[in-house]
This record gives sequence, C-alpha cells and structure tokens, in this order.
Amino acid sequence: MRHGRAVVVGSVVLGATFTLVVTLAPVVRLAYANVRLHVALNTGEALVASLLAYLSIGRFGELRRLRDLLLSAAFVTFAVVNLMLSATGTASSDDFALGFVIWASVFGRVVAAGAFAAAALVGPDRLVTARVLRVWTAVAIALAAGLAALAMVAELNLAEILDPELSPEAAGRPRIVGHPLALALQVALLGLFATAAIGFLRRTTVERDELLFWFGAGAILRAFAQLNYFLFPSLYSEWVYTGDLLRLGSYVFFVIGGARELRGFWRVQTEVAVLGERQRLAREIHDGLSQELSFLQSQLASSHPPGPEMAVHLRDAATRALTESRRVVAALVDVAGADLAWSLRAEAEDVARRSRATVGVEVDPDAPVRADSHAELARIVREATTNAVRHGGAREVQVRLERAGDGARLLISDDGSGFDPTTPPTGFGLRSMADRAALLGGEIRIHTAPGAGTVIEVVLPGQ
Amino acid sequence: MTPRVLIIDDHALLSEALAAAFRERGYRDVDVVPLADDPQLVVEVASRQPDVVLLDLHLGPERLATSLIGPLQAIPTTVVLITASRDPLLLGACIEGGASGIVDKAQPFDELATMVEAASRGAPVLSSAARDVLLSEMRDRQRLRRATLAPFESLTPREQAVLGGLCHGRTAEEIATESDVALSTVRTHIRAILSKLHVKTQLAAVAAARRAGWEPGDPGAINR
Repeated sequence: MRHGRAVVVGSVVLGATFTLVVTLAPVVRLAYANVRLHVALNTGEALVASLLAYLSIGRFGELRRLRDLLLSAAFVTFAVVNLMLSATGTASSDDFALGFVIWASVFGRVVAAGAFAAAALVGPDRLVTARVLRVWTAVAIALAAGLAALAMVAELNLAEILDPELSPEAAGRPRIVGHPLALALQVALLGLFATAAIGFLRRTTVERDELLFWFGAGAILRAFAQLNYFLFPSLYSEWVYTGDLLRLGSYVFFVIGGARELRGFWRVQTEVAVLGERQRLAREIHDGLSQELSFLQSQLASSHPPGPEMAVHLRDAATRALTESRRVVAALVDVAGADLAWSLRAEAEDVARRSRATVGVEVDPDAPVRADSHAELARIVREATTNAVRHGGAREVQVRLERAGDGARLLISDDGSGFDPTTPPTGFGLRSMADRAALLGGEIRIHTAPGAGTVIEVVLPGQ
Repeated sequence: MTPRVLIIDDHALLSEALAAAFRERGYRDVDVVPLADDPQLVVEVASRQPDVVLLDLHLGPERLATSLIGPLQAIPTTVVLITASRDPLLLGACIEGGASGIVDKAQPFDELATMVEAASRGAPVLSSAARDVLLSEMRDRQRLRRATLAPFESLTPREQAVLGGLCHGRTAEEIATESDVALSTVRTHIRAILSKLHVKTQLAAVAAARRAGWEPGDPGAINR
C-alpha cells in the first residue's frame, strides 16, 4: 500500500479531532433533524455491505477460509440490519414492530461487528469444512428464527432505546442517555471495531492484502463513529450527527477496498486472457505459417534453380502459407471467439493439416448449444479427428453439428478402419471424450465395427 | 552412391516436398516415415537402415522430438534435427540429447544437403565451436528459466496437475470430477499452490503461470 500509513494516521486524526471538537467546543453543532438523510445513510450502508458480502462470499467459495466466511456473515448481517432500519424509517406506525426492529438491529450490529472483529484475528490458514459450514448455517438460522418467533409470540414489552425526537443540540455537552443495555452495546461495538482495525492492519503487514487494509482503515473511522454514538446518541434518533458522518467515512473506505478488489480481479483476468491468446497465436504461427515459409526460403535460397516438379511443391507450400495466415488473421479478427462453426473447423483442420486427410465441417447455426460448451465441443472434435487420422488411418472426416429435438447432436464420422466397440482400444481418448460430453450434460455414442469407419455421436440436452 | 535419408516430420505435405527436393538433386533413396508413437517410429526407422535421419524438432503442438534422438542414434544412424525454432534452450537440448547436427529449416537447401552429405560420411556436422556456443547459450537461458520456474518446480506433481487444470479454465469442482478426487483435496492443493506462488487468488496463480511460460506436466498426476 503506497499511502497506507497516511490513510491510517489521517483516519485516526480525523476521528479524534472530530470527537474532541464536538465534545469540548459546544459552539460547534453538526446536527440535522433529517429522517430522510438517516434512511439514505442506512440504505447506502446496506448497499455497500451487500457488495462486500458478495466479494467475501466469492473469496470464501474459492478457498474455504474461515476468515472469508466470517466476513461474509458480517456483511450479510450489516446489509440486513440496515435494510430493516431503512424500511422502518419510512413506516413507523406500528410501535411494536418498530421497537422490535430497532432492538433486533442493535443486536444484529453487535453480532456483525463480532464476526468482523473475529475475521481480523483469524489467520488465513483456518479453514471451514463443508460439514462445519452446514452445521453452523443451520444453528445461525435456527437461533435467529427462534429469537424472532419468541419476540413475536410473547409480544415482549420492548423498552424504547431513545426518544426518537431527542435532539443533540438540546445540550452542548455529551449526553449519555438512552437504554442502559443499548449504551453498553455501543461501548461493545466501539471495542469490536477497534479490535478489527488493529487486527486487519496488523494482518496487512504480513499478507499484503489490500482489501484487508481498507477494512482496517474503515474500522478505525467506524470505531470513532461508535464513540460519537455513545456520547451523542443519534443512531436510533431522527437526527443526523457526527457519528453518522464518521460511519459514512468508514463506508467510503470499504467501497474503495471493494472497488480495488474488483479492479485487481479484472486486471488479472485481462492479463490471463491476453497471455493465453498470445501463446496460442505464437503456437499457431510456429506450427503452420513459419514451417511453410522456412521451406520456401530454404528452397529458393538454394543455388540450384527449382525444377518443374519442385515448382509445384513450392507453389503448394506458398498456398498453404497463405491459407494459414488467413486462418490466423481470422482467429485474430474474430473477437467473440464464440463462433462455434469456426472453432470446430479450426480444430478439425488443424489435425487434418498434419496428415493427408480432408475434413468437412457443417454447423447448423440454429442448433441450440450453450456458449460455455463451445470449448469442450472443440476439444471433442479435436480428439475424435485425431483418433480417426492417427489410429483409424482415415482419409476423410466429416464433422456435423445439428439440431436434434430440443437439444443438439454432434457427429464426427470417418472412413477409417473402425474397431470392435465391445473391446475399445486404449489410448483413444474415448473415456475423456465421454467425460467431456458428461460435463456438458450430454452423452456419447460410438457406432463402429472393424473395417466400417467410425461415427462418434455426442448428444447434447436442450437448454 | 547417395546416402539413404529418412525424413520424420508431423507435417506430411511439407516432408513430401522436402523429399522431392532431395530427389531432384539426385538423392535416389529418400523417404518419409509416417508419424507414430516413439517406440513404433524407432522400429520403423531401424528396419530401413538409413544413413541419415532428418528429424523435425516439433512433432505436433505438444510433442518434441528430443526423446527420439537417443534411441535413433543407437540404431545406429546419424540424426540431424531440422527446425524453424531459434530457441537456444531447445537447440541446446537437442545437442545434449546426442543430435549430430541442427539445421534451421529456413537456411538454403544447399547447406542442408551439404550437412546430410557430411553426416553420411561420418564427418562432424557441427563444428565444436558452434556446439560450444549453442550449449553455453542454452546454459545461460536455463539458468534464467530455472529462476523463473523455481516456484513452480516447488509444487508437487499433484499441485502441478491442479494448476494445469486451472490454467485450462477448469474450476475446482471440474478438476475434482475429472480426476476423481474429493473437492476438498483439490482445494487443499489450490491453497498450497497460492502460498507457494505468493498469490492471493486462483486467477492470479494462472496469470503467474502464463507470465512465466510454465506448462503443466502430466495431467494424470493428480491421481498418483
């Protein structure tokens, strides 16, 4: 992190200055009685938390780290809590429902902050097995549902946390008012966010994980926000005060972290694609074009002028070089790369080019084939054509993709030697073709007999 | 009496043309050997008793002829590599593998003919100075390459197989299904790969592999 230290120091200074100024200089008042702004802040927090939940769940799915699971749980809870508060901020006629939502959100925030702080303390090596994940998900859902049901059924007399109309400007000094339990929980939240800040920032020195750094920076501001909420309770009032401002600041940091994570992802994604394509093209050019051109160069540079028979060979090599260059150019121009007919033809012709076989490729453009199965189909065509030419000695291979009912059918037929289907020879890649077909949700059928050629039929289901 | 020459090349039409070029210059005994597995090829070549074998270094997109050099020389016959590649690593490996000579496919045919002539007489095809240059270039490149590939070499065969799968765009689930191992096993391999390559995500690992030019080895290794 280039400006990491500046961001951390800046956050601490900003949070501390803010808190000191509003506490010690009663003249300064940054309070607005604006319910709508309160709702907007909660909605914004919910959206940011949703984004971070999405990113954390993605990380968890990849490596199954406990830390990512805790982060996912924390952000999902933050998102739900804020959405609940946004919703009740606009409809607060039913007193019981309002009281329930507010108390639920107080506890929800403590749970979320707890998970967040725990994530900061857990190292990257702690993992979650599928069984543990299932058990804990079930326990969490059961607990939440149980508590909600209990509250509903018992119609608990939920004490008011705070007079919603209470104005921070009524007194210029800190006023620690409200339900004692709620106040205690604000202090607990302060502790949890401070822990998270220290934990995440210490982890970043070891792991160089930028997202964790921004979590740490955000947690600093959030800890100061909690301090302000404790001194000037506005979190559950109709007032927007310094605590809300600092909370907003913490979410700006979280958004920066999330945005940089996404940007990094796209950058690597692009790099992978570009490097892969570059290698593929280099191979294509080396395998085809440069072979033909080398041959031409070698023959034409010779002191011995080519005879009539050699001239034919030279002309053929030049023709092949031209065809090959067009093929490579077509591959470059075809940005989508998704043209199935083209990629199937490229695979079959690439194999045929190395032998004396000819291939014909026919693709019904209306055959329903999912875009993500193109690559597998191309590999099946390559394998089947290779078998036909290498093992069957085929002179002609026909590739055909057609509509079949709801789905599609890929046929690769050759005039090679065939084999006894009851004892399929090894090394034919039949198993791997069958696996690929199965991966596409389809199946493979082989029609062959010794001396009768081979037809490989891949049946693909409808979408 | 012209030498008996055999051509081994995956590119059937080109090797026919090359054979035609030799015939046009008076070589009566020039033939093209159809491509087959290594052992089959060696048997086929041995049965024809050639004086010189012209062996294409690339026998397909993923097949190098380096493993054939030794067995062919042992027939015995003289192996001359022909290639369009200029990669000192590959060329050096051919010399180390025992090839008598290497010919750039693009150099004038006369030189190839001269080399074949010399090889058939048992004369050195490559001067010892040229050999030394090739080999020292190879050593330099090898040192560089080893440094680049060191983190990948530290992966176990199974981890390499998993990384190979990732490089081919497979998900952890697909790799597990394809190689018949538990998903959690594949994930364990992935975590080990990330920590050994010092990257945070699977995608970054693939990018690192592509950047280093690392190629996955044997895809069946995951089951071993």
